Amino acid sequence: MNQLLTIGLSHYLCVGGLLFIIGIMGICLNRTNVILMLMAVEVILLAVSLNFIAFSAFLFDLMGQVFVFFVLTVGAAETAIGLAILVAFFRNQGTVSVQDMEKLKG
Amino acid sequence: MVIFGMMFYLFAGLTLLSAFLTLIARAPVHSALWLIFMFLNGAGLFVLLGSELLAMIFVIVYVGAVAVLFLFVVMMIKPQREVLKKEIKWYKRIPVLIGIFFGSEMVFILGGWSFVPVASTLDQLPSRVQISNTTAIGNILYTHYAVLFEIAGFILLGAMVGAIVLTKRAPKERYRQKMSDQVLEKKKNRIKICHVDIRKGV
Amino acid sequence: MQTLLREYFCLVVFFGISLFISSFMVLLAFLRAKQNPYPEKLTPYECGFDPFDDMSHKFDVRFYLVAILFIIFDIEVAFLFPWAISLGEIGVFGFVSMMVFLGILTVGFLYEWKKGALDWE
Repeated sequence: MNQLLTIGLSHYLCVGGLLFIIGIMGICLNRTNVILMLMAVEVILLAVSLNFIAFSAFLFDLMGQVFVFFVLTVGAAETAIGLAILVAFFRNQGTVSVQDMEKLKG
Repeated sequence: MVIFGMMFYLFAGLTLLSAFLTLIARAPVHSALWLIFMFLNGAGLFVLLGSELLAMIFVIVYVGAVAVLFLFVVMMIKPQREVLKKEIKWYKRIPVLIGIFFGSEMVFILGGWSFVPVASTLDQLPSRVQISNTTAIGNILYTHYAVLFEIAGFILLGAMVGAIVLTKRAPKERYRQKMSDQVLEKKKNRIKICHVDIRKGV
Repeated sequence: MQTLLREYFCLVVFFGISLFISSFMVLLAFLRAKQNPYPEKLTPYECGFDPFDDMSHKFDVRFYLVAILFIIFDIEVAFLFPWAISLGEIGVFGFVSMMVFLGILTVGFLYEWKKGALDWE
């Protein structure tokens, strides 16, 4: 019991790994809705950030936390642009289903 | 320590649960709300790891802005669940492969794994020093990582410009009163005095 | 670890008190108020919206554009917090690097101003 409640790095890594798997599953299995795919990308980014911060905390190295800052920046920019593309696509085509995204190939 | 462990299990469990519910929720609005909840719990995990600044910034940026943007878009375009027209077979194998990969990794993690002894000597900043997390990050973010910082600025600039280009409609012809133009207008530009001969017209 | 818990203990107390007060008030209103519901009273009401209508096309793209620009400047402000705290430590170089960062974003700000993204037509 005491062993279980002592939280080490491996606990955090497990949570990060499970989150990552959930995100990947969301992208690969749930392919009807582009917004949901973007949300899955956010889940993956959270998993990655959690791994970065866990290693940063247990190795006493701040690099990981600084990097999470940049991950956050890129993630927000990615969301903004992704949703902007989605809105523009919806305005032209009137749909956001993944299959119709093939039209973006040109 | 017991409280600490319990908090960890609470936050971790809620994070995983809400991540799962994000991706299986029926209505996209529910997905967005579960996403918000997931980020809140993730921020709780960050606090437990001692990274307070990033936890608060996650709450501000992701919960306050990104998830709200998702809500906006869901409200605006109202996506529908649709049936797949054609199935791509190999897509379904990707999560299985990645699941196997991470599952085996977790076996490694849980089965007696530790850092190499050298790792503890690689400290960049000794965390034992009594400065807060925010100060410690601020001390290196703007000097040691200045280049990355400026690149982040350019990424934000690109996002800003891209979003405007993609969503801004061509402005409609607007008839707005421009006071300065009116005041600066000269008489000779507007009024033309014609001396019209009688019975000839202009 | 222990100091962290001690620092956040007041936050837990705060949450507990606010949870107690809010649930107490809701519960009191639920128990004490005279309830006389009829169908018209129970229908959802939203100012300016027909509650049983298609939601899409009610939200304009302009809201979205404002929200995007809010995200960008939100992150900019998030970068300002640690800078403000450790400005004494990082000296002139840190100051200059932040000024360059702000300059880059000001270019974007001028762009959106000139493009009319901030106008509400």
